[in-house]
Amino acid sequence: MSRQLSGPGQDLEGYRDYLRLLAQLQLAQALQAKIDVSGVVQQTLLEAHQKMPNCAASGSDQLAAWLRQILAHNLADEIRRVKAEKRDVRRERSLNAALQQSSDRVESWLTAQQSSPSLAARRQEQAVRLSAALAKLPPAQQEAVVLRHFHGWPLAQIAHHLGRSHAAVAGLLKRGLQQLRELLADLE
Amino acid sequence: MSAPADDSRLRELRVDEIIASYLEALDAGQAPDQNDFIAEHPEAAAELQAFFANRDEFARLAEPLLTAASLPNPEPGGVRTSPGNLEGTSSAATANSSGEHVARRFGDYELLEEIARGGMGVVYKARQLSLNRVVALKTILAGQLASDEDIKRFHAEAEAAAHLDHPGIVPVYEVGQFEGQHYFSMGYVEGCSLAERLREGVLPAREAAVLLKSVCEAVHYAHERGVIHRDLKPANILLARRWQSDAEAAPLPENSHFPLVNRYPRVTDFGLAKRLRSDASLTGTGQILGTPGYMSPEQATGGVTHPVGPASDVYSLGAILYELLTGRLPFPARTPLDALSQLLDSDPPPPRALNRDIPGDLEAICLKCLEKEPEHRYSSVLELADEFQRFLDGKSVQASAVSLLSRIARALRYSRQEQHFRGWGWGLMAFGLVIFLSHVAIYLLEGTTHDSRLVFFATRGAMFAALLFTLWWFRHRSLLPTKPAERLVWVVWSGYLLALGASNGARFAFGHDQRESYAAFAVLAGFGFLIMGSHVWSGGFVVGLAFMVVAPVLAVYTAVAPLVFGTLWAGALFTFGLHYLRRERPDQADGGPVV
Repeated sequence: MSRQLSGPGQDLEGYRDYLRLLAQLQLAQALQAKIDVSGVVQQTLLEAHQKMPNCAASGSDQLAAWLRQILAHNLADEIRRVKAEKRDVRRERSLNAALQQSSDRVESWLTAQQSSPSLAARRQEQAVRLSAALAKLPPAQQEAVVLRHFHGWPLAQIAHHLGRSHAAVAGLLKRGLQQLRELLADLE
Repeated sequence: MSAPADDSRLRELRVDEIIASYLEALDAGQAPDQNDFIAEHPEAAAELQAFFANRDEFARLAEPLLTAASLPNPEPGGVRTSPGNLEGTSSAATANSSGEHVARRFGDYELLEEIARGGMGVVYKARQLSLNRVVALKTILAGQLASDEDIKRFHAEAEAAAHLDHPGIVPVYEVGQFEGQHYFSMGYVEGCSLAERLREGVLPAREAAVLLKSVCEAVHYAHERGVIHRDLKPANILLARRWQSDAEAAPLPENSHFPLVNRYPRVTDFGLAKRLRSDASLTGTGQILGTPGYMSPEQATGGVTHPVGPASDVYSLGAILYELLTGRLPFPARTPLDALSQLLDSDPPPPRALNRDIPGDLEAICLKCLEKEPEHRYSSVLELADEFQRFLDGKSVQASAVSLLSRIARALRYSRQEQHFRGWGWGLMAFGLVIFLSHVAIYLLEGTTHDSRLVFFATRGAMFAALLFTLWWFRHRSLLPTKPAERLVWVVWSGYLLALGASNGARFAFGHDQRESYAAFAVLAGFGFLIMGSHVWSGGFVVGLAFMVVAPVLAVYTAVAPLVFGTLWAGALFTFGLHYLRRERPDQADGGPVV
């Protein structure tokens, strides 16, 4: 599943966690179980590997922008595929709503990317490093941090989603953020 | 489970509940002031402080990711609410559509974008409104300048740096304070730092030499004006884009995916960084310690062994060269303590052992910069620049043209554990004198009265007492060793004395002539000095050999053996004493502005 990939001069493998996190951020929570995010990321990296020009000059920011675009296309395809499969399943109303919401998001993400300039290389690296560090957290901490700080969920909603008390979620966040900081300090 | 573990578990739960109540308040649309909140919960102050700091740090780091995912910043009050941070001073916080630029006012400056954040503060790209120019603004975290003395020194340094006007140095424009926060502004350099370039791999040898030669020229300019950088490292060397018109640099090999041809290095943070406690711990919980990766030994020991001067920058340049060529630091270590002990006691692996492609001349230059003793390095950065030029011109460099004799001479200057034995110069000479006089006495007395036990014990006893007294006197009224380095010396020479005593006793019992023993004693002393050669100063090897060579002479000319033996000892101790006297300098801490 996770074949190691690298292109000429650039290490695509380093972007795996980054792309996975971005994909997760685009998908509604209800959809995460239905879509094989790791598979989409793998496919993205494979495509990138094949299409990668021997781009000696491209900086990491341009590379990341390009990867994001491939990812967005693949995600959109995947959402369409799930949609087609579920077309006649009326019962999964909430799932349909999630599908619609996510596909709208991915579409707008794609257009946003085409119009906005790429990030500065430094900020780009920061994003990749943070994704790598997040991927190293224990799953519960990781989920709590992503839901809180990327999806902006209230504490009560996270507690309900994870089936834990408010204090327990606060503890997850506290330890998660602390550990992230240490991980990032190690990566420096 | 034991009671204390239960207690800490309970305490952690309590802290989690307090944090939960804070987050609930945020969710409810209130934005509790963090300082007030901490004041309300003094029992969890440390944890809360760490939590808030970690949240701020995360919010900052997450910003590029959110931008990449084109998501809005979700959490109410999630960004930069920490006390003492810039939130209180911002008059207008506006974000453009992509959320990338947050313009805020900071005195005369409009903060455009955060460039970097380190242990000592935050660097922003900012616009100076009165002069309408873009600058890099560096704010200093509260606590970095603890005392008024620190602040004064920081300002003095900044002013000295502000007088530096060189194309290879990023200019310092202004140093000041705005609403309690210290800052300085400097030229904004479009481009990346050498540290970022290094992440793409090592540099070709010529490119490294060209680059560092330019850096040397800039650093030399500053040295001439009395400003020492103190913190040269790849992150402080910015690679600015060169204007097309002056891109007449030497032709460089093509196959690098980050050609430096159109870049020229500009050194930043002159003399300032080390004034701040950037190497001290950042927070109570984060415990981020800087590694002394590029720091010279004399800096790492706080200027105790040698004063921090231009040679310290030479060392840092050598460490940078090492990393440019090999892709790693001279002393990579897991912990700062490891790095420190390696820095003080080990030699770095020669660069060519890591990469055979490195030219030998460049390796020689590198290792000369990395010498532990400042006086063994290049005497100035200018000299180093000349070396790079010689290398680029294909001429032989001075560092590798060292003759065998001077290599030996240099090896003999190699001195270890010096911090423990500094100040022993006069003491050792006193030892030498005592031993010499005792042996003269032995020679004279035993020459007249044959085999008198009284003379034998009186002279040896007196010498031993005098030696003990000398030791006690020079060690400030104490006899026993306190440090591991001292302990070895003590063991070796007590062992020597015991062996002498035992041998004397045995011989006395069998009625041999004492003078026949001196050859054996000389061999024993020589052995001891060989150990000293490895343990403290390589001069010990020479002294040890001298003892060994003289030993047969003592066996033949037994009549004068005590005289020769005493002289040998005195000579040995004088040699050591002189060595330490020469090393002795007034302890000069890294203090006082270098202006």
